[in-house]
Amino acid sequence: MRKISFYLLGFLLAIILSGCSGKIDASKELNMAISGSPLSADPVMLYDGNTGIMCKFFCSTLYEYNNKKELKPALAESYEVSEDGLTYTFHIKEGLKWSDGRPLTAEDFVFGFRRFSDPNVGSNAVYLITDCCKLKNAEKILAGELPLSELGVSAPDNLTFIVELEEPCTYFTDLLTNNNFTPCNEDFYHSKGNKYGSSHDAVLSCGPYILDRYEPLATQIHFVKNPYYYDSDSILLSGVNIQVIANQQQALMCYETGAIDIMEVKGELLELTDDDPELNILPGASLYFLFLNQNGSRPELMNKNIRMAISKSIDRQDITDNLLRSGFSPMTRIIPPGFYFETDGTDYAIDQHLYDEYAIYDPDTALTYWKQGLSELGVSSMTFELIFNSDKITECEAIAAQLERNLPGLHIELLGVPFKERSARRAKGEYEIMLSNWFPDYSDPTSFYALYLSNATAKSYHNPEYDEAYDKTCTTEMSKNAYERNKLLHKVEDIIMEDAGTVPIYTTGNTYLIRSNVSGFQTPPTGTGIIITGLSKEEG
Amino acid sequence: MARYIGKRILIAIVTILVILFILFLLLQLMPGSPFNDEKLSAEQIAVLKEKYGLDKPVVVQFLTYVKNMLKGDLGVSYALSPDTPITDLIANRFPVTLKIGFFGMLLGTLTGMLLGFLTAFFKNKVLNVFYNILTLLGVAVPSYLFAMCFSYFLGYRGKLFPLLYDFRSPISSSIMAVVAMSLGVMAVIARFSKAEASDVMKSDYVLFAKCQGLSNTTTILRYVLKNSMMPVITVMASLLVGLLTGSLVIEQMFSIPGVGGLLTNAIAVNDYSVVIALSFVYSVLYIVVMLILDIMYCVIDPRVRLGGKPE
Repeated sequence: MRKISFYLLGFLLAIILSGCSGKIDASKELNMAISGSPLSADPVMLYDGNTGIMCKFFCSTLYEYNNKKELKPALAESYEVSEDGLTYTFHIKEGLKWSDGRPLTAEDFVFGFRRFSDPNVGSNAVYLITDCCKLKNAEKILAGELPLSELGVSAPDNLTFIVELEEPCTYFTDLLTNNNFTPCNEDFYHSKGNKYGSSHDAVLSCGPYILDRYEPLATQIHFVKNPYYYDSDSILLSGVNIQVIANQQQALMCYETGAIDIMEVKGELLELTDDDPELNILPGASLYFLFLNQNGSRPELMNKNIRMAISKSIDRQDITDNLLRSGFSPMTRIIPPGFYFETDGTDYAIDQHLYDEYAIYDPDTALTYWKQGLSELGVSSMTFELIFNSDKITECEAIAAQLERNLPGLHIELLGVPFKERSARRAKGEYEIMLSNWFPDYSDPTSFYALYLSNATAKSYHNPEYDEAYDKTCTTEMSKNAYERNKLLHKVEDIIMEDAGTVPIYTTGNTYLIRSNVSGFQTPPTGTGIIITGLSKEEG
Repeated sequence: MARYIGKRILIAIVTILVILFILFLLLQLMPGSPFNDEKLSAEQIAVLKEKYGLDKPVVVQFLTYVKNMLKGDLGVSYALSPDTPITDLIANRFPVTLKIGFFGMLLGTLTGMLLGFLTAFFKNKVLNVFYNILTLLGVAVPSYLFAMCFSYFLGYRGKLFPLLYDFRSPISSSIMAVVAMSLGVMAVIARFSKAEASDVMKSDYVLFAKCQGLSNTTTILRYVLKNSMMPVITVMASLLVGLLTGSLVIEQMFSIPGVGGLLTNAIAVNDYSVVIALSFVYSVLYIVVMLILDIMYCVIDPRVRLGGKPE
């Protein structure tokens, strides 16, 4: 009996002591809440916002946004692009090192890019190299038709990294800010076998911080300053703690007790925090809009007057002011403000009322279009199904009520479904009207315009004129003339907006509670992810 | 005896296979797949399904899965943490769940036994009211509700404990979760302890011991406690499994990196392989514990009948 008691006591002590790890003073570190666990610490698997935030702390890429939202060389020193716009030669900064002190060379970029294109790795984000830009041979490699060695990347020496594209891509350096393009050291990768990215020990850092606590589906992620980072002097925090808190109210309680310094505020909590002086609305670029399925399954939606009537019957201002509140703005065009800039530095979408004629709320004009459409179709009423993510019920009820009130004979059936179901229906084209949203991957209007190409996943809009205008913006000639290209880009938006091919509803800002002693927290122009250079926290 | 044990093991295996097959079917019937996303093209989804064998018929998938499982390979995660072996995911998180569950169990058992035995031995009115209130609350109120109350009053208002699990202070940040989980255990153990102790107190051998001139304390310590403990210990086993598997909401609430969060996240993103693997682990846990209990019963108490006819 005594022996058993002795072992039991020993077991208890072991359990208790295993919980006593070294103490870190949490008040001196930045404590940030995110809503879900990152997918992986392997940056090529990055595909969602939470993984994106984690990667920003320990990964770096050739180009990055600084805290003034300017695109600046990071691991690259400079680059040159060939006459045809297809070959980019990046000059890597001298003396770069990984977090274990080994040198970071151009070969690491070659290996990193190859892993990203490897079908066996299976990154969900490969559309960045097959759709957003066309990295040479990436599509064929992913289809298993060519070996990885045929990918259009090479390193003639330790400081030169060459990328070849199949089509010019004017925003290529912007695209490279995605951490999927982080370098990877081949020797280290192979030393970890198939465990690369599965824990903090199984990755190397080349970013501002070293990942020093991570496990798959971690609820807490911890970073310490990376002394080998090329710009370590500008890193002002000794450590960062990211806490995964799925419940927003729990996160708010943590924020109010001081355990959290930064948290994103969404949904119902916006109302609770509306008057909080620490509530910050950072520019965002996500667009919420209605896909009107024009694939022929509902001939009524092929009628321009019907589409115009729908677009002009929605009081977007009422929805954003009275339903959604902080951080939401009505949209009557596709491109949100502050997302892309003209060659002279002015905002590409500075005139947010450019397409008001086709999209602003005007029930009288809408009724005229509606009557015209009904008479062209020879019907007196019609019913559409509006599909949406279940959490968007309030907005959709308001949209349906406005449409039914302003367009006599129109009946809207609401169908709230889980996100996965909506995505599946969208991919199969099985919808009539769908409230969708889009978070751009890079700061170029084509990131939005590509949604409406005839061969886009949703297949909602079919207009050869639109497709042709879009294709013209991607030519070699246009890649060398940003001014002319921007003019063409405007034309692309003119075509779809004048045709009421889509119905923009609203854009969202990024609403964060940021403690007053924290400064330098920014989001990039795409609105997704964060900029961490210049992030600091004063004691107290 | 051997025949009885063999029969029980066979039933357990068939039960697990049936559970697995039903789970497979249910997950197939659910809308969507782990790869539903706005930005994935149909071709990319097809490549991913092929990579993980999800393009094959359900029966083939099921048989492959069972075959791999028998080799100890639970597969990899498709969506939550792509390509991470599920055994690694569970191995990383199970110790935390085990630790919190164990302490919840320990606290609940000790306080429950104390409350149950004290109420049985000292037939005190105030103590009885106290017992009734505590056990009624413990049985009727789900542990996550206690967790919410602790979170609000002790964590948020009182600032006595951290609101979330923190690896930098694991003990203080686990206290609220442990106490919330222990209350249900405490109630069940208290009721069992009181009932058993009251029965034993009325038994002939206790009466005989008293007649022999043994003091109340000696009788209780030497005979009553010992004989009341056995049923309590048997109920503890199933309570422990319940704690390990039933702490889903509490883990989520306190951001505890345990297996509960793993399951809820996997269900949310249709990560079939993780859901099935965890359901399998949970089923095995339950079935094995129940099997051990059944076997223990007939070892401890020969009066337990095996197979319906007297031996």
